[in-house]
Amino acid sequence: MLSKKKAREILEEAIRTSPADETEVIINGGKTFSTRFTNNYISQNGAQKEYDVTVRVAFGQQVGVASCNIFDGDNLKQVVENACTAARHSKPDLEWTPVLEARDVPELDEAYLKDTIDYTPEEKAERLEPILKRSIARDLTSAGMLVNGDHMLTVMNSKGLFGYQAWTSASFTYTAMAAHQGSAWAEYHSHDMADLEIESLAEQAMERALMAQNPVAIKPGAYTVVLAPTAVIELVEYLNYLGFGGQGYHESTTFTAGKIGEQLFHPGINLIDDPSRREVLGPSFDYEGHPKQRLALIENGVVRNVAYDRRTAQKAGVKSTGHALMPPATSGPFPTNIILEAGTDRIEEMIAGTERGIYVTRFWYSNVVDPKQATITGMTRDGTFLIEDGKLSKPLRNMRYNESLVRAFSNVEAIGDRTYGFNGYFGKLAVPALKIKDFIFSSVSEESPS
Amino acid sequence: MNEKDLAQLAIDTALQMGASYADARVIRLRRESIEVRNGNVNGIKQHLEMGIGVRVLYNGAWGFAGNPDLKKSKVEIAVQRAISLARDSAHLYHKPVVLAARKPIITTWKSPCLIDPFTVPLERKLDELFEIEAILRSVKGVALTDANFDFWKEWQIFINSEGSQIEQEMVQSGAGMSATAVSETDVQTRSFPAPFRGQFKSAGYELIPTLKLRESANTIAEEAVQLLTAPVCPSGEKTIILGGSQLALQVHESCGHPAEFDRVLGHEADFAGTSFLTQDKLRNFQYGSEIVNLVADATIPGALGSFGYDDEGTPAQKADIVRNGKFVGYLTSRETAESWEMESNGAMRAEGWNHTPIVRMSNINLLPGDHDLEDMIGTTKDGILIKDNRSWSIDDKRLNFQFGAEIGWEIKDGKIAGIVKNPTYAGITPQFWRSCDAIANEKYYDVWGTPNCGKGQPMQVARVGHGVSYARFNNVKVGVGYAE
Repeated sequence: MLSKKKAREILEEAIRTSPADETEVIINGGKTFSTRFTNNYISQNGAQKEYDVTVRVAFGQQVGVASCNIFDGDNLKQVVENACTAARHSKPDLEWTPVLEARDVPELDEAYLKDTIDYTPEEKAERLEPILKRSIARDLTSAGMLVNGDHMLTVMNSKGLFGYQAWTSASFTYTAMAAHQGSAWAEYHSHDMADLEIESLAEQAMERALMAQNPVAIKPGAYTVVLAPTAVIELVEYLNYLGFGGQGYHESTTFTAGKIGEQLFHPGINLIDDPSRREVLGPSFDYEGHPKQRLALIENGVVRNVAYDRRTAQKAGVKSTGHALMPPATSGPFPTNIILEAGTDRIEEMIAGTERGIYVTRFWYSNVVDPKQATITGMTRDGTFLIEDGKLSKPLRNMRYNESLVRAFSNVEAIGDRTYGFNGYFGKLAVPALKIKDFIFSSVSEESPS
Repeated sequence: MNEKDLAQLAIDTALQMGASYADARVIRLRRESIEVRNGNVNGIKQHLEMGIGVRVLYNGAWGFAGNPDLKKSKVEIAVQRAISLARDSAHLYHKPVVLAARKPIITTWKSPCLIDPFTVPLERKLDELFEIEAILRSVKGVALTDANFDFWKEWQIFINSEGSQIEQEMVQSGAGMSATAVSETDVQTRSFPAPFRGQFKSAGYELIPTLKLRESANTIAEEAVQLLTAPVCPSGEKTIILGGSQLALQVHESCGHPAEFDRVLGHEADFAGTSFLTQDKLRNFQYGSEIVNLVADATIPGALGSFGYDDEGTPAQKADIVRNGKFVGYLTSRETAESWEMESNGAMRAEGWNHTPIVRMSNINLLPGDHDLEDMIGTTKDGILIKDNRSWSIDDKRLNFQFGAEIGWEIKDGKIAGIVKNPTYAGITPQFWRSCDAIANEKYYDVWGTPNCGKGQPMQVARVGHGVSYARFNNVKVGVGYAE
């Protein structure tokens, strides 16, 4: 891992080299060790190491960005020079906002765990071996990946601002497949390998895969759904993407535009962004070095805030919330450490309290149908069950949903009592299970066409 | 040491350490991305990258390590790490990897490029983008506009322990623009030549004027404004005609991905998914109607998914996937091909130096038919002509799909009746392709670049292509997602 001391030296050297009026330098990267298994054996074992240095410079309002994955001596000079050349030959960026003044930038303690990054491929193979043996003994096919890694983000600008954060990560994804179209899924992500209860996750998935064999079709329509946290992730990711970026909000392309202060959702819905929370741990500053604080996006079902970087904040006449993405960040800022707060209901009770409904393990390949209505579509995958009289009564063929997120999060009937952490497209998120009424399924998949 | 010597050092070290096979790729990459938005420079980014990826077979199992540092000592460490990872895999490996035979080759290959885009001054690129973007903004009612260029130049040397030594240089360019109109309840965008940053080809700066962005800017901006007040695409079962990048994406999702043999063998079961095109269906399954012919063709000059050799040294090829509607072939690598006693058809590719190769599409093309578009429209009683993708979703076996597009034109009794907004359609892959009754001729044919195909764990992004003209499908469910 690139240490704080070494990182500071490199950043200072880049700033010293730059002739620009303003300069920002970012280094991010780390190492990833991934053990991938397929068909009950380890099929791919990989080690990747990658760091990038990104330099953004401004001569007046002329701005250029350059990056490189090597930053020793001449390469560092070269990347600064490339950014300067781009800026000098550019036209003025009329929305350019000066770099931030120097200030204290917080650093999270205990985010970098030595035991997690030192977890060897051999230890991973030993940990996976009993799972794969159990899978073979039960005539199941297992596929998945066990990963550990370390990451760092450091930012410095020509006004003396400096931030550094290093953290570790561990993740486990697992698919158990049985004969006759049975499959089930489990996943867990944390910064601490010790959090990964992979044996119990795999055990539950194996049992569910056996239960999921010979799925039947039911008529599409509106159903009460009990969504496992692994299914809720996809809904929350799109809720964030379609609603809470400051650029889209002020350009009126989000479904939240003009609706701050409005009760759009069930009063039990509380969505926040907070990188200091253990489930979504990450740097407590953004790519501009702006500190992040807890940001309430939805409070008791009411839209409260959207995310800003310094450019969008200036345009909107507000303060940055510390959500700048990597320059040039052409899509603007987004929340990256999101938590849908837990409620009080156990998922078993949600199922037990459902007379007729559908249990969804996960959604897959969701995408936007209508951004202003927050309508998205996607498929169920790896374990969809009919709930009858409070029990998972039979496995169902995968189904396609088409649903407005505003409607879905208004129709919430129960919220799980615990959040689980996951990796998403924009960063990390933690979500509980949800029970939602009148969730719309539009079609059923065929399993094996002839 | 130069790159070739470093790659050879990696191979020699791996063999000395007991590897039965090794390959190494040293890559140098340069990228430039320029975006103008709402009359302003939105971002200019230039990226340089280099590194080595080493893949070894040790005790019948794979190990891979990538390292950006091209010092001799660091390359040796990468090899040691790859060997160590293979050793850790091997004791849980029930069947040793065997690679389909391949004759060694020593050669060089370059993609066609007349004007190196990195020699064109930034000022000229910005002038062109601002000019295009100004036309978009000049149309009343347009709220947001953007125009972008993307350039890519990659040099790579591949060496393996069987004696292959292949040097390749690839230049790729892309350009696109979009106009967005916004109301309190609606957002409508039109893009050109295709959504999601435009059209991409293996070509130099000479590509840019051929895309005719300037000439098309006014039309697409006007369409974006018209869409705000246009009627919503009707729902029900109708005939649809798909064109351009929308048909390209249909081919990508419902033919290209399910034909990847690693998916069939379960290698992607935990992430991208498996495939409905199981082995029992090879040469024994009616994928589409008899006029449907799909090929994987990595040899088309200038197409985004073309190359000289894949990332395990197999020459670029043209292979049938669907012939006269019958499913006849997969995309394969040396390992997956050997497992079914086939030869690799050269589909093994990696994103950069830092990923191990996986089975990938090249250019998956729907071969042109013999119709004129005018005839296809003229013989459609009740249909929608749909262009330019906005949304895509398909299940993990690649059967149940739903797509949305930017714009549709309703067809009534053989005539275009007007534009409709929010066109969506859904179906089941083989039923959909079996309903195909007309494909437009070569006059309308182009290979559309898809620069953002995600697959693999850790995820890799590939640059692939799809040759299409227009195709007509019957009894398709349209208006999905808006009707319920």
